[in-house]
Amino acid sequence: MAKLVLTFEGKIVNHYFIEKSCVTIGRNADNDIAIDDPLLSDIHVRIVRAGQDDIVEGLETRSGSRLNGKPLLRQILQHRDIIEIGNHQLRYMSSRAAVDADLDRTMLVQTLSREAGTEAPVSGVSLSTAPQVALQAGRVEVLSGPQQAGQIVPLARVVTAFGVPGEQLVVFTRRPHGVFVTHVEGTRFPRVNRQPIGNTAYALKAGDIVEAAGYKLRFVA
Amino acid sequence: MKSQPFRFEVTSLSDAGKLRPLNEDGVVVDRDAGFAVLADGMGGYRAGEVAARLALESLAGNLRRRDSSLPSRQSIEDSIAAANTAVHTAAAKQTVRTGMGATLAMAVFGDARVMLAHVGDSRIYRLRDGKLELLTRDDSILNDQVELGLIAADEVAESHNRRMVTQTLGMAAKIAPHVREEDLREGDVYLLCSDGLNDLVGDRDIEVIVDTLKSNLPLTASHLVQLANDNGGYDNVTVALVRVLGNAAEAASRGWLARLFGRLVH
Repeated sequence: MAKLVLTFEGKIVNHYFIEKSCVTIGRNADNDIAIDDPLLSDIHVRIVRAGQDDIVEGLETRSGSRLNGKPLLRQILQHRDIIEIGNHQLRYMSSRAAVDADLDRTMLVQTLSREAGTEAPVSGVSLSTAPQVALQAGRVEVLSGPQQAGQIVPLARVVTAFGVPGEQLVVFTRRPHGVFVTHVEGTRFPRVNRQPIGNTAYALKAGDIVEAAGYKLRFVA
Repeated sequence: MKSQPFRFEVTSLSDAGKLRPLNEDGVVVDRDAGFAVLADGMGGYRAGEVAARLALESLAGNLRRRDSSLPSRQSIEDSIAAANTAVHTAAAKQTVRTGMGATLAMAVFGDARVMLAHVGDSRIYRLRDGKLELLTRDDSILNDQVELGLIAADEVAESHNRRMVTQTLGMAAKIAPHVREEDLREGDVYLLCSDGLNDLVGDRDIEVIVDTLKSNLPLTASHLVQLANDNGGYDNVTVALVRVLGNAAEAASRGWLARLFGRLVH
């Protein structure tokens, strides 16, 4: 899915996912992306999906719009293109670009030759600033067990475990479309609303009661 | 096979991801022979798939023929050179496969130590005492630029040449693999992965997943792959996990202590 990043004077103002086949952008509040900028027309540009591509069209002819510094009429958007409208910029980011990038990668390998003997230093630089989707939030209320009853445990990280490692352990996993509970280890399998769930990942609903690893827990969405 | 101070638990998982029709990654783990090796193939017309398979067959064959002691750095380099030749020769024979290659990450265990090797942007991490550490340095233009100070590390997610590698198996008649040797400690978890994991899942999430779920390695692997797919899944993603355990006799005698001091985790 492609994304638009709105910036004003170099600062990020907002992000928008292109989830519709036609997205309008302008000053009017009826637009999918309404931008309060006196230089914009009511409907300034629109982005239309065509197959795998997104096409941007400039609808304002007087002040015009620019794409990567050149006048915009109608163009297929490429990853990292910048649409300039009024005082604002929209940067187009496509996750599909990463797929196409594999071609670049192969071509580069062919053209580069690496001199031997340039042994790299040890430990790597951690470059990981991976994209983050919004994971479903949730909390767990301890009804009984090794921790004080009534305690609320927020599911702050992607996985949260309850129990004793090496003995009996259960994990709550946050995913984009829900929170799941799964058996990790131990001879006894978790039960949700008194039903054993075996080795499967169980999709929790608000109010579900999980019995596992010596705990009785209530899932609070 | 002589008695080893450590036992190992191994697992691997490879997935095409959500957008690509082919899986051009490959992985082989062998607990008894004490190794894990993965390759991420590249090149059109299925050449990537072929490159990864040729590299893995060559390496796994060599690694299964060794004894249980730690191989020398030289023998690791020789094995990688042989795999490189296998891919390079195949590429030269068919024009359609010119330019095919594969990145590599491998870990070979023996005598309470491990030899780690990589080529390209496949990575090796280690979880020790709850902390994840990257033990490899990508052969990539991007990494070079970060090290030269041309790009800030936090701008990397934005940069669109992040996937360009400077070295792969099969690209040239000779390559320069990176090899390092590490001590093993009980409880260490080694993670080998293709860039489909670390491009899509942040180090902190990798750390918390491996640390929380390490007692169930297949579940750890499926959680890592699942999160890469949840985060977009625009690449093949492959992981190999090796957990270092004490030998069985020691483990049994420590069982009651573990229970006594068993802690609660979150």
